[in-house]
Amino acid sequence: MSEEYKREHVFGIDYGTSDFKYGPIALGETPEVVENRGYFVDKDSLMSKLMDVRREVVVGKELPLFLESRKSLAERMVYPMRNGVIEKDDWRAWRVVEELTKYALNSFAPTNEEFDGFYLVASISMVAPRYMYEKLFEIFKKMNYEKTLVKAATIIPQPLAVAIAHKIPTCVVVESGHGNSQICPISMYPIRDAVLALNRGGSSANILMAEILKDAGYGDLAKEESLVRRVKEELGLLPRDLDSAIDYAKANPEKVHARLKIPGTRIVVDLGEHSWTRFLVGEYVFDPNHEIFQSYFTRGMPKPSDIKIGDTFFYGMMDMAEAIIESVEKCPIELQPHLYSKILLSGGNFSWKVPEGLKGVAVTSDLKLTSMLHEKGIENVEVKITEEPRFSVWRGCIVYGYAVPVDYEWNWNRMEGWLYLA
Amino acid sequence: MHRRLKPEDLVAAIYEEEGFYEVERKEEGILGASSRIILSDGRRELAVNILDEDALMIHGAIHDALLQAEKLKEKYSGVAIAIPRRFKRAVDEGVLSMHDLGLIVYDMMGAEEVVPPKFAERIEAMEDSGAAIEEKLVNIEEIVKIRSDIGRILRILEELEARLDRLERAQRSLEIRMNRIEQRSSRVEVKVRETPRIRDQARSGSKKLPSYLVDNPWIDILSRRE
Repeated sequence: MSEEYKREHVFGIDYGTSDFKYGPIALGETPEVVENRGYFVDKDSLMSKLMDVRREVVVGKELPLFLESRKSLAERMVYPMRNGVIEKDDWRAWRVVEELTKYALNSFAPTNEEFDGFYLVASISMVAPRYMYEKLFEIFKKMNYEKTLVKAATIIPQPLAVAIAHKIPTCVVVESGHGNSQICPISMYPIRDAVLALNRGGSSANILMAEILKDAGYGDLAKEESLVRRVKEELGLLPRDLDSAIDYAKANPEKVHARLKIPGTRIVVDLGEHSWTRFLVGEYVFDPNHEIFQSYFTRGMPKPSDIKIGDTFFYGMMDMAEAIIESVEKCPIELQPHLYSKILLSGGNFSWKVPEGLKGVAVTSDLKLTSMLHEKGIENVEVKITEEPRFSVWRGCIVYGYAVPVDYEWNWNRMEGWLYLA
Repeated sequence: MHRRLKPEDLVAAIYEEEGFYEVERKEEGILGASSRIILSDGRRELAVNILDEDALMIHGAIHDALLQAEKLKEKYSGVAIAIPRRFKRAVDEGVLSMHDLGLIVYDMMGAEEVVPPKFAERIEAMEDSGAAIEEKLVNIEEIVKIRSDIGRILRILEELEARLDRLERAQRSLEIRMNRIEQRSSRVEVKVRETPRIRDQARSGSKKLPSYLVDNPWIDILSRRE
């Protein structure tokens, strides 16, 4: 198979925690995006009989058409990659992954006779255990049962894809997703031994936001996860220094006052005198060790705990800067300054806004982390938030597939290369 | 790997069951035969003159063989001649039997004793002498030792043959692997030639390529993976 053919038929898939990004190289700058979820249809329901639904799982853009009651939503909707790791025997999650993969490949498979399958580059979490790779390759192989969709496949960790998309060969990629955050140093290859994971992500900030909403009198709204997430994204702030920010908020309540109207509804969220708590949301993601969070823990909010998923240990309470330092210090000393000089922040969890009147008090993620690292004595730090973080993993997949030679075959020791399936 | 058995081996094999083992083999300079083997069971010695097809093409070869065999009777307890099976009709079995000569026929499949040789009781004369008996016992002990040595050598030979088989298999597998590697290295050469094209394309800022591919140092790094 020629390099020419491969370059024209590279197909990228990013199995993100929330969104599933996919598409061939021909799409150019942006991939197709659907939510990374699947709905198990109740075949006995009247609706599915009327619509003649024969599929077990529905994925993709037409999914909302099949939804039933809110109760069944919780039972039948599966988000397979919420934590980046799928349990080995979670057959429902694997079914959704299989269906999404088939959906993606069939959406773009050419019908001409010359087509002999895509060169598929899939990207999954850095902390994904080996069985996930094996299971995914099994799924890719299944794709060829009816017609050849996958000529060869490879799987790369998401942080590597981010580094590739941003054209930086030596860096530290900090990927913060829904359920957790991963710190991965990269120097031409991902340095797997130095990977460090935190059991905190977007969902942790959502939990705190829900507690804040309860305190502000919106206990009913706090149960709606999507609404809580929206309030967090609109009102949550990341302080440069939490104590100073709280002092500032208490001295200048009008400047920090937060009010949000949810478009298309009658709902208005006004944090009122609790507006200072906006700073807690961002701080919690970066450092949950401030004493102020203790009051939430004692009132029943779950404390991020140390857990082990697959082969990886996820730290609950380690602050973000400490985690980066610990990870970098597992690398050769000569390499460490180069790693600190390029820290890439990837994922929606780093998109904190700075309102006009709060500059200096509230900061963006790159400034916050730079400041935290300086406090810990790390100089010459350059922290950068990735551009278009939503698509960077998919772009990295395309570059990887485009450049890696066709005869570089998959090897389980180095976890790289093409596995030929057709 | 199996080596093809010689007529001498085939003939020796039919007497092995009777307790005879080969003590001597001559393949050159034999009058009236192509080769000769001497078999012994410790008490008696049997001489077998073996004629191959080439030898039998000579006119009067059978007669010559019989006359030479007759002479051997003085020296050995029993004498036989072995001929290829398809020449069996050329020999009168009754005459051979009358002269106490044995007849063996052989082909690719094995050997067959058509007329058993008659053994002369030559050892009786020696029984009178105690020294002779002792000498004979010594000989028997030696022979038993030689037999066990031969058995051991045969086992070693079998092991060596098995090892040779394994080595040949390993050699074949290595040859296949070498061929693959050679093919691969030719593909690598092709790739080395193609790599600059990939890089050039990515560097040229071609309108076809998305922005993240243009001037991306990873193209160079990844295209060198091997």
